[in-house]
Parts: sequence; C-alpha cells; structure tokens
Amino acid sequence: MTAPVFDAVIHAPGRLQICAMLSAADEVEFSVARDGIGVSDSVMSKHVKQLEEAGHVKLRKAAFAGRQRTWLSLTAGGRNAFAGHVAELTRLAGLAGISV
Amino acid sequence: MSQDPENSGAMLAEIKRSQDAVRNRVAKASWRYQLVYSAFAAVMVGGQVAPMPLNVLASAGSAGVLMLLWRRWSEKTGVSVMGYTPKHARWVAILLGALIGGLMLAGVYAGRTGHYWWGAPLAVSGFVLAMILSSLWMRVYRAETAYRP
Repeated sequence: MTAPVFDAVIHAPGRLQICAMLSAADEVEFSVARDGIGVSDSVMSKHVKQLEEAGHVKLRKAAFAGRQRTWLSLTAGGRNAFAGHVAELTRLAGLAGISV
Repeated sequence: MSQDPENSGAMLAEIKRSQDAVRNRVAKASWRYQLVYSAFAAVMVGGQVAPMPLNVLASAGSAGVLMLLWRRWSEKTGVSVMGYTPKHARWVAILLGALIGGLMLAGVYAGRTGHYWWGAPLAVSGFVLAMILSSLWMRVYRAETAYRP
C-alpha cells in the first residue's frame, strides 16, 4: 500500500491525465497522450517539460518508417509519486464520502 | 492547487478514464497480434527438431520476427508494453518464456534422437500455450492496471 502524498506537479488536470496514461503502459507516444488529454502540441510540451523537470517523466526519441516520434514514460520516482498522489486523492474522496 | 475533497472524486474518475483509454489501445486488435505471435512461437519450437543450421535459423528468425512484430504493434497503437510490467503480468510472461524454452529443449532432444515426428505436436503445443498464456497476460494486465480505490 502506497502512502498518500499530495504532489502539486502531478495534481494539475492535464498532468494528472498524462501520468494516469503512462501508469497503464511502459511508454506512450507523445501524440497519443496529447490526443488523450485534448490539448495542443505546445500545451502538451509544457506539461511534459514540467513533469520531466520534476523527475516524474522521461522522454525517448525514436525514428520509425522515416518518422521521428517521442515516447514518454514514468520514471520509478514518477510511478511512486503518482501512486502516492492517487492514494491521497482516494483518502480525500473518502473524507468527502465519495465512492469511486 | 486545490485539495478539495469534493474535487477528488472527479479527478479519480478522470484517472480511470485515462487509464482505460490506454488499456483499450493495448487490447485493440490484440487477437491478431496473439495469433501471429503464437504462430512464430510454434515455428520456434517445432523448428528445433530440424538439423543444424535449420533449427538455429528457425529460432533466430522467429525471435527476429517477434521483435519486429512487437515494435510494429507499438508504433501502430502508440502504446508500448514490454510484457514484463506490471508486476503480476510479468510472471505470466516469465512462465510463457520458460514453457516455450522447455518445449524448445524437448525439440532439440527429439531432433538429436531421431524422433523427427515430434516436431508437429511440439509446434502445436507451443502455439496453444502461446495463445492461452498471451490471453492470460492480457487479462492480468487489464486487471492490474485498472484503478482500484
């Protein structure tokens, strides 16, 4: 069981969605995550940069069929921070008597 | 940033939606992937009965095709899952690898002792095992990555 720890970087809705998507896979392609949260390239890049600076996310660039693609993944610390944040949200929801 | 308890429920629901979107991409067209994957696992197993260098060619060629298949599938879905995460799904992948490895060794033994007819039943066993365990892996993956309050 992960200890509930609030993480201000992850908490913003767009970044929370990015982390949620990354938590369900090893890597997610930039455009898939961007479309998943429904934002522009620049907004997505800002979110990714903040997550990267916090040490939660790492980037990998790879070429396939002549196209350069960026893959995002959670770092080990990012996975722990996300799990802690989810535990905190669950605790807060419990205080409000909300069942999810 | 707010830590409003009322808002927490909505955020948890958003987390679930985002995770479901990724899981659905992984599951999308997975039966075709499983079918081709299992077919090459069968070639890898059955090919071990053949003499050198055909058995080496069967295992190296199939391993190469499986790697390309995985890469192409990742590029197509935009989601990459190695098979060795998350934690419980990893054990299913390890079990599949161990069983396929065991069948390959049985194939090598059959080839060395002249029981060439073992090739077909071993290949079928490899195919069936790969189909069953890759389906099981998908179930475990879906269950393990699902948000549970």
